[in-house]
Amino acid sequence: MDGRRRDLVMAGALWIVFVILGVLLVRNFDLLPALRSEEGAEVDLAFNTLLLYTVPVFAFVLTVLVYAIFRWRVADPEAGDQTRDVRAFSWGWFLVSAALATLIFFTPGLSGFLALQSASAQEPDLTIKLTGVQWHWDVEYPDADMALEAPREILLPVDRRIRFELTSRDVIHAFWVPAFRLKQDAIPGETTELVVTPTEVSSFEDDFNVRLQCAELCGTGHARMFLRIRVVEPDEFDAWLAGGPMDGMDMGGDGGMDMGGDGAHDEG
Amino acid sequence: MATTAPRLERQIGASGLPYAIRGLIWGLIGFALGAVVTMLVRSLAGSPAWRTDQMVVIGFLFSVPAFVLGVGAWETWGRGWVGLETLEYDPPGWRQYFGFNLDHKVIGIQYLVTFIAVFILAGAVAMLMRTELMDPGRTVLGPAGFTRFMSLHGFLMVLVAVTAVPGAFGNYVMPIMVGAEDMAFPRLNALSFWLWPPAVLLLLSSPFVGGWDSGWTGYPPLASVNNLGQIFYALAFVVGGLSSIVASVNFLTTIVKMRTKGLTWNRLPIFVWSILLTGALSLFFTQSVAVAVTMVTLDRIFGAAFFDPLLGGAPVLYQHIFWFYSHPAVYVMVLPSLGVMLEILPVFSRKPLFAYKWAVGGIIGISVLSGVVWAHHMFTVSALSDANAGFMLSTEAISVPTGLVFLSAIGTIWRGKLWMKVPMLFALAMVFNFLIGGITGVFLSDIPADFQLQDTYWVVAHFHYTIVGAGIFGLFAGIYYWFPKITGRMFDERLAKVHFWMMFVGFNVTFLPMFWLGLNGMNRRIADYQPDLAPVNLFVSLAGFFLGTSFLVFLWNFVVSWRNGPPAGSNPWGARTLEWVTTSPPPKLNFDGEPEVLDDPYDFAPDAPPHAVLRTGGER
Repeated sequence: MDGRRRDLVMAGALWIVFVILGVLLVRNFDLLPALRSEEGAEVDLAFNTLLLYTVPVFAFVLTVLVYAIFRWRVADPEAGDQTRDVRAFSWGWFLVSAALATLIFFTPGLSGFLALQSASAQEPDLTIKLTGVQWHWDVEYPDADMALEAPREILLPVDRRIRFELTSRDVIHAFWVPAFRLKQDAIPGETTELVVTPTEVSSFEDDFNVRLQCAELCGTGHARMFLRIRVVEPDEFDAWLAGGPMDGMDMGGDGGMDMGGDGAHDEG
Repeated sequence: MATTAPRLERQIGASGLPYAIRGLIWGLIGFALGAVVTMLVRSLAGSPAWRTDQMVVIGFLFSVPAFVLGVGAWETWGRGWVGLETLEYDPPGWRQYFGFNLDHKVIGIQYLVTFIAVFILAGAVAMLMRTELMDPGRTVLGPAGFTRFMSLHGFLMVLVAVTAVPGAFGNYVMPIMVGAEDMAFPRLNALSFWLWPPAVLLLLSSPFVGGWDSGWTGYPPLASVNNLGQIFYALAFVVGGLSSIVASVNFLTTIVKMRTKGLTWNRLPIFVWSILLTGALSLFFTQSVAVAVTMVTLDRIFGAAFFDPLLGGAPVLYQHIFWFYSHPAVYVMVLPSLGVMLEILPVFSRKPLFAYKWAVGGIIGISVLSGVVWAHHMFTVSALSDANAGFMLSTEAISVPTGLVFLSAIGTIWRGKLWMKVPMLFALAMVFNFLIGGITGVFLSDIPADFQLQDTYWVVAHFHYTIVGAGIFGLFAGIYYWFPKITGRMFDERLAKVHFWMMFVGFNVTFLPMFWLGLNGMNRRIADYQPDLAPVNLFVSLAGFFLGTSFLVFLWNFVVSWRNGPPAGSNPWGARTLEWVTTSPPPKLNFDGEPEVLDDPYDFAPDAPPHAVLRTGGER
């Protein structure tokens, strides 16, 4: 009985050490890249909350593994303790894990989901239509009657709520700007939506995650089906919409596709 | 060689052309026949006679039965249909593995060796992929080559993960564990194996027609318009799926009906439980994926429009039907390996399996819930629709029964006496890997977090942690655990430890950084990436090559020890379940006597009665 208690105390202490180390680790290393949208804050909150929740769980199992391996390893087989179950522990485990699953469902899961739903229900300042085509994006600004075929770069205004209307002309593509966090498929025959509010003036040249990357496998050119994004001040954006492409902006029709001679899609 | 005369008359396969070769010839003839029939029907209907895709599909559908009959199903089975006496395929030596052999132990070895070979091939493809990804831009494959090899790697590995553990150990070990002489339906069992060579050969030949570029998931519309290889994928999926269904009928029947005297449900080894539930999952869900890929094929070859939006079809519908199978399929990949893990931990801790009933309940709970979580693969199809919240709930609920498997694992090693032999090393590594795999899955089940993580390297890392970290580690745990039983010989312990440490370290240093890559803007299934991600990718590639090398150590040990290893004896690990009561390898009908189960399989107290004894009836 004494040995039993000593093991529990020592393993408990080890668990606490692991938890402290884990919390220090997830608090001090930011795993996520720079965030540049309002809605993306919900994503980061969810991610970071879950990261914190997982620390004690991960540490618990790790503690038992490490403790058992160092404490009870033997060179030749001999009978161990013959306990088959500890009723209170098994029930406790079951109830705690059920409670944890319920907790993470409500928050950050459902809470973040509802927040994103209500954010997307608000009236947008601007609508942009995006059509995925193997392997580029066609972009339309309906308010300004501007349509760009396979642009290399597009402009977005900072601090304006933008509704993207997504569709596809051929196969399924997906909208993903890693710096904005959100993701939504673009499906042929359907129009889907994604609402995002950029929060910082930024560009692909400064941060490679300020790009509209196709995130659904769409064939050979999938990897390089990305569109550079430049987030600018609203004035600059309005001037651009009114006057068309400005000097110094590369609107070459080649899209993200510069992949040598093998980009062709050979039919069988 | 020393068979008696009357037996010889009914025996086939001992000399002449190996039946597997005859099967290939019959299969090719069948293929040609199907293609010619297609051309005839087409010209009778007034169309141009030649149409490759239709000829491939119809040809293959002719070639599979022809192949199966050719490898010996005709003599051992088909002759009975026309009133002739059936013959027995049981030649001595290496020939026993190259025909329609009904012995479950032979079939288990056929599965094991075949899928180790497929695993090594698909792993070699992964090495090519990591070579392409060593630096940004074009390296060896280029975008077209990469996308096709990525698809091939993914699909072959899915087949390995679904098939290897239940195929090898479900067939070899499970019937012995329940004290049966063979499986309930030996011919169905042989059929389930021999459906695989046509499917695998078809996939291996797919690069010659340009492969396919839609991954192992094959989503339309992409899958409706790409290369002919897409049809190879669909046919392989249907035939492999048929094999799974046939095998699962057999597993379920054997476990329910053929348990020996005294083997009550409460005494059933946990591995048998895992095979039972795996069988149930395959039986109920596999048809769904066959439907999905068949519909795509009909779209392509007969102009159906199930998934063509221009003709009123619904491309997203495919994803529902596909994942309705393919999510349960990930548990088909993992449950048998978890069964292996929970089988090994008590033996090498010399302690009963902790919370046995909770563990069984966990396996059942996982299986039931796995049927109602499929749409979590599709959160970004319609990102903010209300239904997603329901799937988030069911997905997060599955962490509870999964947690019970961990409860059983860590409860078993607590205060045990850990005998760190190689199977135990693999089982403990599985606890660690599957913990990371499970926890990172929670992030994916969370809709807000999933918006960043979906379709990125986070997903790649997560499913490799579950399916390799648990599924494939479980395959190797099982190989080392049952190697002495199957071959009668012991493997080289030192080389096995080298393999373990290389694989464990190599696996973790390869896949851990991928979580970071996914968070930081690297989407999955890409031949090229942003140059800022180059250093980490280089590291991952080098780590991947190291991981790949570990399997050469394994192969060497496996082959050499099978031929020359020292005799292992009937029970080298001191385990209690029935396969250790008989000889290594077991005799043709598994036991020299009538097995009877007396006690629990996991009672390691020094004075415990044996789990089972053999009643020999006095003769010897």
